[in-house]
Amino acid sequence: MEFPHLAELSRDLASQDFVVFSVNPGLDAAPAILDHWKAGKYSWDTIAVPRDDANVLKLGISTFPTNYLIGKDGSVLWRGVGFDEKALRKALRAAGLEPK
Amino acid sequence: MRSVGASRMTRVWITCAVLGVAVGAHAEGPSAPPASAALDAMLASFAKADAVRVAGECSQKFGDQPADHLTLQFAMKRPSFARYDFVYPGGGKGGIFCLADGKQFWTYFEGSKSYSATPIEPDAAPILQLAGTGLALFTQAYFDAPAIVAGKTAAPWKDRLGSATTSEADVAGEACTVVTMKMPNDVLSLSISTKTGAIRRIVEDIGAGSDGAHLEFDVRSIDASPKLDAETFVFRRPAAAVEVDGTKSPEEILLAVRAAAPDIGGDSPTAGKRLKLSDYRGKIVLLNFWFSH
Repeated sequence: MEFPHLAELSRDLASQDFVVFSVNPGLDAAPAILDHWKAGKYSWDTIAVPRDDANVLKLGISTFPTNYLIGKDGSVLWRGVGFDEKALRKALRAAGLEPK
Repeated sequence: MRSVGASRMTRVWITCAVLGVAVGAHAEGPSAPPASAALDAMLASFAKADAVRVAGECSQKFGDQPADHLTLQFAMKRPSFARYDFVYPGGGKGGIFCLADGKQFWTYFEGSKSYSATPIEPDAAPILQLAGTGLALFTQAYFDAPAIVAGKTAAPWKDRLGSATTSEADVAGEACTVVTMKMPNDVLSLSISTKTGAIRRIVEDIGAGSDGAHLEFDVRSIDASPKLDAETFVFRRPAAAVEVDGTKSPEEILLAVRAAAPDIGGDSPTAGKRLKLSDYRGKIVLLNFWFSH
């Protein structure tokens, strides 16, 4: 589960204009999402979208987790399928952030 | 893992439409042609046509991903010019697919503002130059399927065709003859109105499992003598578009051109309001797709 790692990054990089934004593509109901969030005490937000949301399709989401790193101007910087913390930290550094 | 999008759809669709018919099918014994003067008229009009324009609704499903629906229009002009326009529900343009010189397709992806050139498959090239059989690509299916049903397949095609079977079915309230062509990795079926000879539905199953695709095209209109501007078949690089490697997937293209991420948004159970990616403009965002199990 990637969330403990995301929580750590979210905390460490909060002062560096970094934010996590989660998307649940129609795979959990809202009560289950809230339970998950309360249990983990996550500081960022998630949205719930339909599985066939056009933007989910455009981003080619079929494996979970899939993470995209989006630049300050909204451009796509990096994509990771599955969770490889080392690769994510490398991408964050390439984006000018300084994870611990 | 693959994405769903017009780019892959067009490639699969056209490659298979071309190769499917090329490698494909011959009439297996005497078929049961619909005895219809209208069919003869349709075949005659196609044989004389310089151009054809077809429009309809397309449904595509790749692997276990949800089905995607779009409007498909295509136009073809002898000898082998073709243009396909894909439009998503709500009017968003999916992209265009343009064959302007008979040697390569130009594909433009609206989502990533990128375009690519794809050479014609070598096996397909003979089809594109086949004289007298009909127009290119899809039109081959258009021309050949009714011909197969009518037992009028052009001689050169009989050498290429594999095994076609026919059956009867009702398609959207219209009695049709269904021509099914089975290829090693592809099953293509064309439902042809027994009344008019027009193709009403094209269904194609390609591969299996997560790499499989199921495509359906319901034809709404056919114009065998459209007024087509010559510009229709000229590919012009859209403003600010970037040329990319046509072998890349749409999401790889997003990365390659550092395109703007689509502004995904929705209701947030955790924030109690609607949120979207652009709300975080000015920050570096880790956009995380997740589920709890």
